[in-house]
Formats: sequence, C-alpha cells, structure tokens
Amino acid sequence: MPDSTRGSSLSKRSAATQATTDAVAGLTVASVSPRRMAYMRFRAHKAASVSVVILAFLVIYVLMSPLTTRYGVNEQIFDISQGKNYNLAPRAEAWFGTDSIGRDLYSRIIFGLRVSLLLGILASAFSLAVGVAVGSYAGLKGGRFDDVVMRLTDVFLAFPFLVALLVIRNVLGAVPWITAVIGEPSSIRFLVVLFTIFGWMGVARILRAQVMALKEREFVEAARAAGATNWYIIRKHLIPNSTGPILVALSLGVVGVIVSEATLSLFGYGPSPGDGATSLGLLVAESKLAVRAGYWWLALYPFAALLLVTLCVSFIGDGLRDAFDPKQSVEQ
Amino acid sequence: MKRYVARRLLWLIPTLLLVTFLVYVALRLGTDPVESYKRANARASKKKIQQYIELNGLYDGAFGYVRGYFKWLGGFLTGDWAPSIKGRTPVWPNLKDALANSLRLGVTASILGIFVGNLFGVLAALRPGRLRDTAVNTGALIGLAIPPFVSALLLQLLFSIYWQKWFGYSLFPTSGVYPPGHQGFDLPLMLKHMALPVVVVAIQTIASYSRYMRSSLLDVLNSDYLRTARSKGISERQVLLKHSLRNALIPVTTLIFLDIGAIVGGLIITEGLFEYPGMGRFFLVAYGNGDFPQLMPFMVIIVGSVVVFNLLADIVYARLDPRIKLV
Amino acid sequence: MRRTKGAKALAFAVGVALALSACGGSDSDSSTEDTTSEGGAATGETAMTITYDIVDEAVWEDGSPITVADFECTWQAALNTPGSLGTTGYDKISTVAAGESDKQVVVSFTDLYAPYKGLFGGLIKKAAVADCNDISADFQTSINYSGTEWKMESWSKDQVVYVPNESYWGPRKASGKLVMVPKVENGIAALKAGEVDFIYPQFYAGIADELADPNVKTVIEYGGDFEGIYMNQGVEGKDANGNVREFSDAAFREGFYKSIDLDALFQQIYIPIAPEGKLLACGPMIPGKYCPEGIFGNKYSLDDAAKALEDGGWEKDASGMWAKDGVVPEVQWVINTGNKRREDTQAYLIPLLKEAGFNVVPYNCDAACYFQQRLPGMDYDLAMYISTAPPDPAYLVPAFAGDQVPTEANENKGQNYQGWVNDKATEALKNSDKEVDDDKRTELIKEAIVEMDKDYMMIPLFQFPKSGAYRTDLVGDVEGQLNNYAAFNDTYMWKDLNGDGQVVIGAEQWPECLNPITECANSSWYVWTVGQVLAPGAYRTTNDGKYEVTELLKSEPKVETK
Repeated sequence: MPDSTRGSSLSKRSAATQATTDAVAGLTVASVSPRRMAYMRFRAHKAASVSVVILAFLVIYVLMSPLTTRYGVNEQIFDISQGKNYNLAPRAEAWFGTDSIGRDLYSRIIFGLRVSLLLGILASAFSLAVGVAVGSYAGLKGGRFDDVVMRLTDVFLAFPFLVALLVIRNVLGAVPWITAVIGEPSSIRFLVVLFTIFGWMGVARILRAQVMALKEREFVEAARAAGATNWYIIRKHLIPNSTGPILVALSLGVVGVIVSEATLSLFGYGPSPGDGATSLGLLVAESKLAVRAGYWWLALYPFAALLLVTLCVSFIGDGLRDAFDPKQSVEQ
Repeated sequence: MKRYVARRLLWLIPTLLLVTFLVYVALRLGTDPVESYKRANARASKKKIQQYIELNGLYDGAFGYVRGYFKWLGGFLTGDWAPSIKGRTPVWPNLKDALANSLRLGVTASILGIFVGNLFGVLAALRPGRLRDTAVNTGALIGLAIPPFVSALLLQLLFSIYWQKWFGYSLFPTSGVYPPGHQGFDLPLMLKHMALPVVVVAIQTIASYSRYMRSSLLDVLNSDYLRTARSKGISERQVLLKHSLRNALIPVTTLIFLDIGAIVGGLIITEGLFEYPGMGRFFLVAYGNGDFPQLMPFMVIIVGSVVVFNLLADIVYARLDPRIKLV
Repeated sequence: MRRTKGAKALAFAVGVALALSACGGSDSDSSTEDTTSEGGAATGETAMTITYDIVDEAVWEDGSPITVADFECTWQAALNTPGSLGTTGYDKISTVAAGESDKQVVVSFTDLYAPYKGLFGGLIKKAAVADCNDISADFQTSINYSGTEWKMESWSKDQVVYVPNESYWGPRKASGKLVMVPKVENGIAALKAGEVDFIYPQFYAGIADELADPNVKTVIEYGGDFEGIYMNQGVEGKDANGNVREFSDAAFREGFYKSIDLDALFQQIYIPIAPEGKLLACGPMIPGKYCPEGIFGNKYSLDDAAKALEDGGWEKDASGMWAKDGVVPEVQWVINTGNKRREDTQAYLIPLLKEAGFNVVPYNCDAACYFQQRLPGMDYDLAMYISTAPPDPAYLVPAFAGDQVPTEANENKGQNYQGWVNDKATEALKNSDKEVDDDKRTELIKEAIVEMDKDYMMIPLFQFPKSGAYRTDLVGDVEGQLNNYAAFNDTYMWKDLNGDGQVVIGAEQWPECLNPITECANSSWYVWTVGQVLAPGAYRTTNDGKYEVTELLKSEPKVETK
C-alpha cells in the first residue's frame, strides 16, 4: 500500500517558542537547538534506539566479511564425492545448514545481505538525489512545473507496483544502448537503475510537502529579499531543514528495495548473476520451494534476516519521525 | 470549490490521454508486439503478420506511434478490440472475469482493512505509549514486513494440509475459485475459497490503515486547536467525536480512494499462490507472451482507475479539509 | 521455472525436436500472392499409399459415422490452416480418397514417409467445422465432438469437465466424471489437502520430500524429457557479427567435454531430483532401441582434454586458460533466470571450468527472452534446456540435419540451432525419413547419433522421470500408463474411491485456448487435458514407447510402396 505522506504535518513551532516552553517548564538549559531536541526525542523512543544498535552491529558484521563468513559465497562445505552435501539441516560444519548444492547458508546470508544492503543504499541514494532536487524545486517554484510533476508522480505512484516494475523493466531491457550502459536485466546494476526510477517519486513528494510548509518561513523570505536564487535557497536552507523526512525516506527506501527485489525473484525476473552470487531477496524467494519440501532452515534464516532488517529500519523510521515531529510523539 | 472540481475534471481527459499514450509507447518498445506475434505463431505467413500489424496499428516511427495510438484508441472506445495473439481468443471475456475476481478479493480485503485497521488505529492513538499502542504499532510493522508469499504458504499449510491431517477435512482450500467440478454460482463455496487469499491481503491492508489512522489521529489530538478546545472546557468525548475523528479521517479517506485505484492488478503474488484467476494472472500470462492486444486494455483499465480514483481522492480531500486553500 | 514447452500435439505428432517450436514447413496459406507458402496438396507421382479400414461401428458423439470425409478434413486442416503446427508429413499427401466404401481411406503420398504412424492421430470431425481448410477460428470455447469414451461438457480457464460419451462404440467404458483443473503452483499442496486426486508433476530437487505423505503414492517412470548442454557452432562457424564461434573448433569441443566430470555433476545436481537416476548417454535421445551403445557418458580426463586441445593448436596462456593465437575465448552460457536447477549447475560448473582453463561466463535472461530470442537467434555459446523425445525419432531431422541451420536458404526457418553440420549424419537423417523398413531406419538413426558423439556436439545429462502422484484413498487403478509419452490416457479405468462421482486431475500447465491445430495445442498439457481425451485416431502410443493400432481401425493399415 502506498506509504503516502499526505496528512503528515510538521512542527510549526519555531526554536524560540521551544526554548520558552522549556524555560517555563523549569529546565535550566539556556538554549537547546532543534537538532539536539530531535536527538533526545529519538533516544526516548526505545525501540528505535535498540534498532540502531542492532542494525549498526549487523551492518558492521556484514561489511567485515569475509572475516565473518566461514565459506565463500559459492563454496561447497565439502565436495559431493565425499557424500551428500545438499539440503543438510543445521550442524557444526554449517550453522544454518546447506542449500541445494551444498553451500553454507550462513555465509551466503551474510554475502547476500551485503549485496542487498548495497543495492538498497545505492538505489535509495540515487532516488534521494533526484527526488530531493525535483521535489524541492517543485515545492518552491510551484506553478505549472509543480502541477505537472505532481500529476505524473501521483499516477505513477498509485500504479500496481509489480505491473509497473515489469513494464519498465521490459522497456529498459529492450533499448540496446540503455542495457549497454546499465547492464543486462539480470545484473545488479540494472536493478539499481530500475529501483531508482521508482524511488525518486516518493522522495520528491515528501520533499515537496516539506518545502511547501517551510517556504513561508521568515528565513526563506529573508533569503529571497537578499536576492538568493531558488537553488541557493534549496541548498542552504531547505534541505538542511528537511533532514528528518530525508532520513525517513532513505531508510524506508532501503527496505522497499530489498522486498521488491525478492518479489521480482519470485517470478524469475530477479538478478541472476550466474556465478553463485546471491542477494537476500534471492535467498528469500528460493525459500518458497524449500518450505514445501520441509527444508525449513532454508526459509527460516533468510526470512529472519529480512524481518530483522525490516523491523529495525521501520522502528528507526518511526523514531526519526517522532524526533523531528513532536506531534507524533508517543510521550506527552 | 466548484471551480476546483471543474478544473480538475477538465484536466482529466488530457491526463488520461497522455498517460495511456505513454503506456502505449512503453508497451510497444518493451514487448515488441510483432516479434511476440511471430514467436507465438511460429508458422504464420507474411500475410498474416501484415494483417496483425494492420489490425493493431503497429506502425513504425514517431508519427507512426501517434497514428497507431489513435487507431488503437478508436478501436478500444468502440468496443472493437483486437484478439489475443494466441488462438485469436477475444480479450474482453477473460479480462472481465479476471477483473471480477480481483475486485472481489481486493474490495473485501480493503473493507476489512478500512474498518478493522482504522479501529485499531483509533484505539492505539487514544492511549499513546501504553501497551495497546505498542501492540498495534509493532503488530502492524510485522504485518507489513511479512512478504505475502510467506503468509500465504503458512496459512495454506495450517488450514488446508495440516487441518486435514488432524481433523480429516481441510478447513479452507488451497486454491481456486470453486472446488473442482463445481459449476454455477454458490456463495458459501465462493466465500470459503476466498477466505485465505483475503486474509493474506487483509494482513497488509489492516496493518497499513492502522498505522495511518494512528499517525493521523495522534497528529490531530496533539494539535493546537484541540488544546484550545480543551482549555475552553469542552469534554474529552466531544473533543474526540466532534473534532478529532472527523479531521483524522480526512487523510485516511484519500488513502482509501488511492488504494481502491491500486487494488486492481496489485494482487499478483497472492493470486498466483492461490491460483485465483484474477488480473494478476492475466497480466503475467499476457506479459510472458508479449501479448500486446491483451496488455493494452489491461494497462488502460488500470491506468484509468488509478487516474479517476486519484481525482476523486483529491476532490474529497478538498471538500473535507477546510484548511485547504484552493487555487 | 520448471516449465517446458513440450511436444507438438500428439494428435498430429510428427516429431518435435526442441523445447520451442515444432517441425518446420511453411504455413500453407493458399493465397497466391504469398510467396513463402507451398500451399495445398502435394503434386507428383504416388510413391506410397496407406489404406486405413475404419470399423463399421465407429461413430461420433451424435451417432454419425466416422468416415473418409473426416480423414480428409483432418489432412486439409493440418495442411492449410494458417498457423497450423503440423504440416510436416501432411504436405507429402496428394489425395485422401475413399476406397471400397467411405469406411476405407486410401491416402496417397508423393514421397516415401517413414513416420506415418504419427499422422491422423487425432481426427477432426468434418461436420463440426465450417471450412476444413481454415479451422483457426473454430473451437473458441468448446470442442463439441468426440470419438472416444469421453465427451467434453465444458471448458474454461479454470476447469474442464468430461462426461461419458454415450455413443462410443469401443471397449473403453467410462463412468462418472473426469475433471481437470489447473494447479500450476499448488499441485502438491492441493493433492495433500485432498482437493485433487492425481497430479503429474515434473520433478525437481526436493519433490520426493514434499510428496512424502501416508496417503500419497508416487509412481516414478522414466519418460521422454531429457536435459543437456548444447554447444553452438554458429552459422558456418561464425556468429551474427562475423566473429568466430569457438565451439566450431572440434578440438575445443572435445577438450571442453573431457574437462567436465559428468559423474560428479550428476551426483550434485540430478541425484537430488531422482536418487535412482543415471547419466544420460544417448545424445539427444532417450534410452531405448534408438540409442547406440558406448557413446557419450563421462569422459572426464584433464590429460585427454589437454592432448586434444594441444593437437588442435590450443595452448595454455600465462593465466592457465586455453588460448588459440593468444586469444582466450569467452564462452557465453545462457539459461533462463529463475530456474534453480540450471542456476545451480552454472554456479557449480563455472568455477570448475575456470580451473580447467575455460573462461565461461553466465549470459542469462528470462524465459521469454531465452526461448524466443537467444536460442532461435543462435545468440549463445552454451545453452542448457530440456527437450522431449516422442516415440518416433523423426524429430531429430529438423533439429540436426545440416541444411536446417537457419540461413537465407531456408528463410531462417530451420531449427538446427546448434549450427552442427555433419554430412554423414545429415544423409542418414534424411534417409531415415524415407526408410519404411523399421530395422533399417533404426540403423540410420543410430548412425546419425554416433556422428554426434564423434563430433562432441552436445553434453547429454539427464532423462527426467515422469511421475504420477495420487491419493490412495481417493482414486485407484491409475498406474497403468504413466510412462506413456501420451501420459495417463487410461482415465476410463480409474476408480473413484471417495464416492464424489468424479476423478480430479491437477494440471501443471493449462492451455490458453482450445484449437487443436494452432499454437495453443503446442504443449504436452494441451494433449493430455484435451487432445487425446476427445479425438479418435489411427494409432495410439503404448506405455513402452511403441505405436499400436486403436479400436478405430479393423487392422494394421496397409502400406504399399511403389
């Protein structure tokens, strides 16, 4: 379901009001910047704080591969000539068991996480770059440009995701000079581009909403009076004041990419690097067959990894939203 | 208000035309209709291929695309649709059935989501920070994080296969619209077959509506004007009923309209797993074959419903929210 | 995806080679302006006649007799319908005429045609179509005739229901209802939940575990599907851009073949599917009378491989890769994404091949792209796919004859997608199509396959099991024909054990439309769910891969050659 941002309003309290309220409440702190307030509100959100720790640990662990892995991504734990190596339940030699050709699932999950996180961060970063630029410009400028951009993104975002994904995938794959640049449809590079095409629109809408709320503020008017161009205002004022929504968009984007990649893999349209490389999405999609045959470990561990990452990121997103928008705060 | 609606309506037709034209271009570029036809009919003669090109208006070049689009549009609007590339079966009967099946699933799941989800959201927002709130929030997050095929598999295992082992009959069937061999309309049987797929989709809709309503209501409950109302001494009950809910419903309403627009075609995985012959399966088969005469009406129906429902969402939003300054 | 585009409709089975398209032969659209078609009946001296004697009692479902008119209609429809699958064979017939009565059919051929038993396998009722020369628009929603024990009550995308044909004259007595439903994803789950009685799944790793259930019995036989790795030698040794295809070099092929430990590969990839399986060593053929002895199989020996390569002018470069004139070829191996078994094979073999000195890179794409662009476009070096071998070996001819490499000469309609040209084999194959004597024909086929082995044309891997899985508490007596190329065509004998009056079969694929002549019939599941259930024919296949005369005819048809 589209995670729309309609209706999310933002704090209209200025820093001055905040400080006054705090003084009245008896705090002896002379002045507290909005950034610090946000940080403290984030810390107060328990689930988010714990999630940051878990996620950080996970990311470091994954990035430290091959130190943290026991085998290579395409390495069998032992050769077939020494006996059955495939579909083995978890054991000492393979903590999470082995897959259909005897590779260690634990190591593959770590490598797969690395690929998926990379894919997610790259796609999100590119989406962010494009989305922030377009969205803030549309929000600031308004008028015809804003209208057109909003109309188009509206329609596109409301499209059934998989249908749109497959159609765009086909279009990209059919034009030869595009595949020469961004890679074959079965490569990771291609997926980054594909998900960027989908990702920027959501980011653009968030930024637009944010900018439209901010643009009536005094500092923007002041900047205009001083003769600043639109882009200057965007760079210097609007984006720094939009860190909250931007961070939220980034975090949700990563998760969305991983899940979308698993969905594509389910239908056979996912990455197929062919050299044994894998991604978390591929591992999750492959688990479908495994569950039916009773090889529960092939489903449980990849899915648990996915759930862990998704939940952590979602909680962090929640925490960030609370931090930057106290009206959403759980504690009063 | 009236001017706003009129303006939006005026833009509806050009928007539809533009978007469907973009879809037309995307499909022609992406699926290569002529090649697909040749593959699906490996022994077609040159004459047959030419007939196919004429029938579907598959002219080359930029101007050819425009010309082809209008030819297609004419045929579409007059009900004169080109048949599928496989077996020359007419497109509309299958599309109609697929649409009906998908709507049945999607609308039911949406209604569940709207009522149950919003209820949960309200309950959570009323006691922020307490157990209720945490439970709903975490539950919703987990619900959104579980991929549909996982929940589908688990439900199938539980209610069909293992139930039969334990109790001798399967509580809900694994797949299909009706049991094999059944003909005609039968409401109880249809509901029984719908149960599992609806639950799978409803997990997602309930989760997303509850989060949305919770967020929206919290927003409203903590807002300045309510503070004012409270300080004026209006009872909490009145605050809730008269002001908060109504205002909280505004963004949720737009979400409802957007969702309905997206329901059609958004259930591919669930339909595939439960062998429910809906729009998802229709699309996957047509897509796999590169079946242009089937893909175009399909996409246009989806696009059309998305655009129309977006419009409705905007109009409703404008109507309900007094803060919106209409240009 | 474990989908295969299976054999041509058995009803008109003349021979199918690859997983893509059926026998060649251009569409006989009889308009004169079309230069590509041959159009219409064959002309020339009669070289061979076959006489079919229809039994007097043979009637259609409405009681009208089955006569020569129906044979003639079948021939015309197969030959002239635009988009017809089955022109091969029928394009050698000049006339289909009545003999002593209209219950005797005399078919005249202008050329010797050995695979004649595949013709007239599914008759079309003349009275059921408007124009026998073009039936492509008929049978949109139902097939309303029958000459067998079952008759179609209804057909839709969700199920087909058959009821007993009251007018049937033969010994196969049907009772109750026969229902088939598509179970693409959920076959085994539906079986275990008791929603279907019988399924016929294609095997994959883990299926044995998935089927394990006290009420489910699985019968495994070995059938006509086989998988192999094929080497593309290019058109005249080159690809579309004029670059040399490395596999056109015989030494390279031999060295490559001998560098792979096929037994280990088999253990790793195929034993998990079928623990009793054996490495296939018959080339593009299944074990049986057409399989020569002592060919293919595991020839793993890095020393032998090195010798063959060095003799052929290859040498290992500094990084240990085989190079000719200093160039290490990049071998592009294509499979369809999402097919786990093939992806696993790639992941397993590619590192081993790199160690052996071959730079193999994956070149994968999705199923539509693979089967519809890469293979027919010969855009690959190595490909891995499943083919189906019908009982008659005629499918080998369009797939492996030297003149069937797609070129201008055959308007790119040839189906020899490996680019393999071997004159001795080509001659043997061409002659086999004309050799009516069965023993001689067998020798010719074997000769051609021996050439394939000498040339290291492909790497045969595995003959897939055919398996029927059924609920022992819901249906009985199903095990008779599971090895049949035609599969479970004895449904009239199956017993409904749970008393619901119907036997339910879950189909792994479902035909998209019903027409028996055009593309939708180009799949095994069409044949199994529709084609063979309704249409009477001259011959039927047996469980051990032979042809036998059906109850339609009084006796074996008389074949006379001039």
